[in-house]
Amino acid sequence: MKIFVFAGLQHHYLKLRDLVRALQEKQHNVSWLTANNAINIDPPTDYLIRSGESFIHLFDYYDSDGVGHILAQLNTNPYIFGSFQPFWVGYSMREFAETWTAVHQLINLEQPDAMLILHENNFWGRIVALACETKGIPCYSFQEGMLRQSDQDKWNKQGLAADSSTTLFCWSENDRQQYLDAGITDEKLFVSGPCHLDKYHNRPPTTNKLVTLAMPLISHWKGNLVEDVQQLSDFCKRNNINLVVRFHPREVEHGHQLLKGIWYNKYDEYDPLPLIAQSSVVLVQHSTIALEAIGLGIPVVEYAPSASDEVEQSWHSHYKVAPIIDDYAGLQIILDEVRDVDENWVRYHIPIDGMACERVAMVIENEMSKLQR
Amino acid sequence: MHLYAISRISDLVVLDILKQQQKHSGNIQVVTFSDDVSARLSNYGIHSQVIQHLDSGVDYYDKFLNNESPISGEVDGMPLWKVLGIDRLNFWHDRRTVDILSTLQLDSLTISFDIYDILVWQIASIAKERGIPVRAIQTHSVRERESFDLLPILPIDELVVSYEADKLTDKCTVFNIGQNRKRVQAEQENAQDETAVIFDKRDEYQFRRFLMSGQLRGAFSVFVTDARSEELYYRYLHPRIGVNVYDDLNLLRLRKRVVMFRFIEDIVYKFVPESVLVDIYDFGGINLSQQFVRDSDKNVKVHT
Repeated sequence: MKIFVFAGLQHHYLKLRDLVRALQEKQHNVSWLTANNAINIDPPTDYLIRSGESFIHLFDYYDSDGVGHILAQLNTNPYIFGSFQPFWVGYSMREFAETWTAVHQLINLEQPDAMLILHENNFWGRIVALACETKGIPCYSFQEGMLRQSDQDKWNKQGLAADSSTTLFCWSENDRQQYLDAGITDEKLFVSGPCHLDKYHNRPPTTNKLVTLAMPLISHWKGNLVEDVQQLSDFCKRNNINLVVRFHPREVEHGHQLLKGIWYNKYDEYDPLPLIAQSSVVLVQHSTIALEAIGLGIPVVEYAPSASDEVEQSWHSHYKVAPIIDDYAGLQIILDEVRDVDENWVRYHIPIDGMACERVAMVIENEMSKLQR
Repeated sequence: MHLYAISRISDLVVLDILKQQQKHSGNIQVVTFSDDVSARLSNYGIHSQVIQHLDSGVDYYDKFLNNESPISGEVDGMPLWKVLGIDRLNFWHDRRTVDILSTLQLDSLTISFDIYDILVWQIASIAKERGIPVRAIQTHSVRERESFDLLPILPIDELVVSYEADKLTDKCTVFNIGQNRKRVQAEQENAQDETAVIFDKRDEYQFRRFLMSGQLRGAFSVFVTDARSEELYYRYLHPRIGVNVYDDLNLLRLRKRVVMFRFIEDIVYKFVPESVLVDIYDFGGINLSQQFVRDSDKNVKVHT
């Protein structure tokens, strides 16, 4: 089978990399496909080249006549320029036309059997999925991370996740149910588990006393961040526990600056999973890392000592993945009884058995063989 | 009454205001949105009022994603706005607003042509809706694809530009600021044969394609256009290319040939003497460079 896998932002690559390897091992002809990222402040070629991956670029299929044709069909209301910088309006319209026409050229010239995207709720994924749908090419997409009820309420995020996808692979039954509740039909959903966690299955148990604070975007932190980290740092120092703080990749420098003077160790790699897999407890606030840690069997604590009420009312009430702690006795208990306690809290079951890639490959292969017949 | 709304200053903006003040004294009002622009105008004897912006309180999702679609058009049944609105333009939504037209009776409006600001365009779109003529005055290079694409759809009747070479469409009128822009004058006695290849993060694809194409003969070095381009270049391209890298564009005047991948007027005119050949490799015409290079741009060649 000839398959193209789109990699835009770095997490697209990290979450699909192991699946690509698995499909390649099954002798399928799988290639990474990439594109510029707007004005390329974070170009995808950066991580692809550094990782030694070969890839094709959508600009190899540039269709200047097609771009002009699409741009001629678009209309704007003048008021858009009072709410968005005109530069970005113009830029985005052209970027859309370039991507749309190049994906069509690629499909016409290369005749792929299938395409994979991480998800439809981004600029590229939506275009690739829709282009595949119009050309009759299967397009497979994946749950990106935590499904937040607030996103669903605000803009129907879950409901839009499989408009054009052939199948949307989910992490768990719980997540599948959320997609169903949002209106996605059952035949488009398949619970595979998260492919990127397969490699952590059966790893040796950690013996470290390592507490990881996995930060959401700083602006999303509920409570007083500096005060909360200061208290945590004091607690860990007193108890001779290693504390590591991991900021969102966009905020590494700013985050460390904000916490200047507080003791903790830094982890500034883009991929948090090697750190999470080594941790004895992971402290989070409404982060996808919570689900990944639970999948790896690591206790997760919703850490909100100065705003636990706010957290209870937000995502936590839906997933109920972890206790909220607002005092340090709770943290001490977790550290003392790491493995025994999580079953009581976790209402989120995620199939981590090292077989997610295999399940996805099986679904795609079955679909392909049906189409060939 | 004629209103000037100015977010960004240029020689042309100053000249236009001074000219109009002479013509219609007392009937012109100038507003700006920052103390800095106001202070710079006052250096030319132009009094302006600084208008503070407010928070519009507009929720992006309620207004734009779920109700009003400011871009219309469909591709194969998919409203374009759903594609752009999900993760591109929501990132750039700007809640700033100003309210000045509710109290002013205007005959005409002039704004700075500044495609990186929203406040002047807010005022322009309201004025246009009321049938008030709107002019814009050039404040940055317009020989770039974003200005070219936007000119037909921005709410202005006329764009006043500095030179004949800036006339992108019939919507542009030339102020007659003088002869065409001149490239930098520089001695070339110690010029090096090494070709200078410009690396700008936006043209990363063209840069790699050019180096792999075998079209570059002889020694070359790389010039980066900004700090982020430099950071990216060192991180993942330099280890594979390994030539000298420069961040000082002034050194371009000591080269005999410069290779770039889009027409960047500010670099060509500020840093590259007219005797130096500029080769633009705009593969596939992605950056529309052919549209922007004029006969008056001596020694500039576009390859598509």
